[in-house]
Amino acid sequence: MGDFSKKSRIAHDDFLAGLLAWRIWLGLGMQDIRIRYKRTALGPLWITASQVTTFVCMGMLFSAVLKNDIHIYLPYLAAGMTTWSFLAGVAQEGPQIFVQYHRLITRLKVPQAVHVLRVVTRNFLIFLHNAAAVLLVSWALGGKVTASLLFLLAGFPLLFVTGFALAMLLAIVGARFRDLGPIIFMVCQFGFFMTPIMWSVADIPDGSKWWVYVNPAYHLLELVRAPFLGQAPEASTLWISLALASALTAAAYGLFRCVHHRIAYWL
Amino acid sequence: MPHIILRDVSVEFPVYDGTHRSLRRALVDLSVGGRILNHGRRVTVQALDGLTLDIQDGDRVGLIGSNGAGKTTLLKVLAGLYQPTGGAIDSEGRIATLLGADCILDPEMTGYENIDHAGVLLGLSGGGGRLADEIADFSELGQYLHLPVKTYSAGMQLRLSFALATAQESDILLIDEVLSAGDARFMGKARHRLNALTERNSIIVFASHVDDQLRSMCNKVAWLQNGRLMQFGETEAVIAAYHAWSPEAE
Repeated sequence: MGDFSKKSRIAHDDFLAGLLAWRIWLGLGMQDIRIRYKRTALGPLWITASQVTTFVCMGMLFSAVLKNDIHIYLPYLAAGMTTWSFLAGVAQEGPQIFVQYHRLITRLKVPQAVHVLRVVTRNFLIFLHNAAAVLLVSWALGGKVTASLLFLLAGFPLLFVTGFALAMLLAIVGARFRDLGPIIFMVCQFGFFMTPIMWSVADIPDGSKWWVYVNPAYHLLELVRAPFLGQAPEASTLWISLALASALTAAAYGLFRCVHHRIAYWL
Repeated sequence: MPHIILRDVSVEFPVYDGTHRSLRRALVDLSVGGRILNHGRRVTVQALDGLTLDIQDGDRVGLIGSNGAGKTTLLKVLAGLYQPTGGAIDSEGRIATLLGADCILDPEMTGYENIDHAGVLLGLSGGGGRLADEIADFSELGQYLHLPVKTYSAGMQLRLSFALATAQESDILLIDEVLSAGDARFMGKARHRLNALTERNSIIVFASHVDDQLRSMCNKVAWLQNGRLMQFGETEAVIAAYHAWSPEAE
């Protein structure tokens, strides 16, 4: 067996072992949140409180500025922002993951994917808290709970998998190239305005709509936002999200397999 | 049977400076062919050089050598944390590591929080009360376990991290110099615990500068110098050779 194929075999085993060690990454992700908010009165609800404050204020402001009906605009904005926060949070933390946990990686025999999954789990748990708040807000504004919420059963896992693949890719590249963090930060700020979160596709002329449809973040957002608003996501959105999650996962796995044996040396 | 076999293992660490760390720079280089803007040769540090070592079931191996000899790097290679840049390693058995007290312990968290955290991270059984009781009993830290670990002395941190590392179900235990911070009483307990571990057919490899620790805990010693294996064999003989050689190197 060649040297490279042996290393690539080790990488494969480490990747799978990481996925299978769900007790570890789920436990650590939950512990991270519990410990961070242990000494505060509201506990993890602080995260939700600040998110709710943001989208209620922005919702009131922009529905006034844009002269939208707040009963429609606020749930739309809230669902979009919550989902975006998860994606942007994972993307911005991504390049730091291996750097942040370098002590564990170079001293403790734990599969490397565990550290990535821990961060994604932490962000996803925050997302779930916020998602509950979105439902409450839209219900308070007269929204109805419909069967289309069942689409979230597909949307949430897809969102998690996409978040993991994205974080893994960024974690690897970020371990080698330390200027990735600021670049991603810029992309996220720019992406927040370019993606229909504060505005909707209907607001822009037909001729410009194509650049919304080619934005993968739009489809991921729609996948979760539509069910929250009592609609079924478009079939194309479902397929594109599925393809995106698969492609990113394949890329993350491929890159990990190629460079796994170098990651510890980069830290 | 647990074993670790190294064949001609080398480890070269890359040393990156700012320009090698920049993605923007790398992309620019790529687009202009990479050769025009040459930022200099990549610098590497040779930490291990052609090491061949055979560690078998029941071996308790001590590592000696001056600072920078490659002891810690060797332990990390044995653990599979660094994959050799040259040569091959073949190992079998579940590995537990104690390579620095600061790695499992988060200084901001209390002793009990750290026990919970490490319990999840290391997959320790008996989560919740039982694990905590066991660790509290062995480490003898008492009420200190309610305080943040940053208030502990080095010896107290060692007690806690040693108790956690040795609570793992493992076949191979790798320990770096950390043990030197323990007091006499703790060292006695630690020795008992390590002996109990070897009786479960484990391999133990540990680095130390304290000859008495090596004498009482090892049946073999490996002496490293500048990343090369100078001698590997019976404890007294290797320690004697090491001390006979050291002064001449000055």
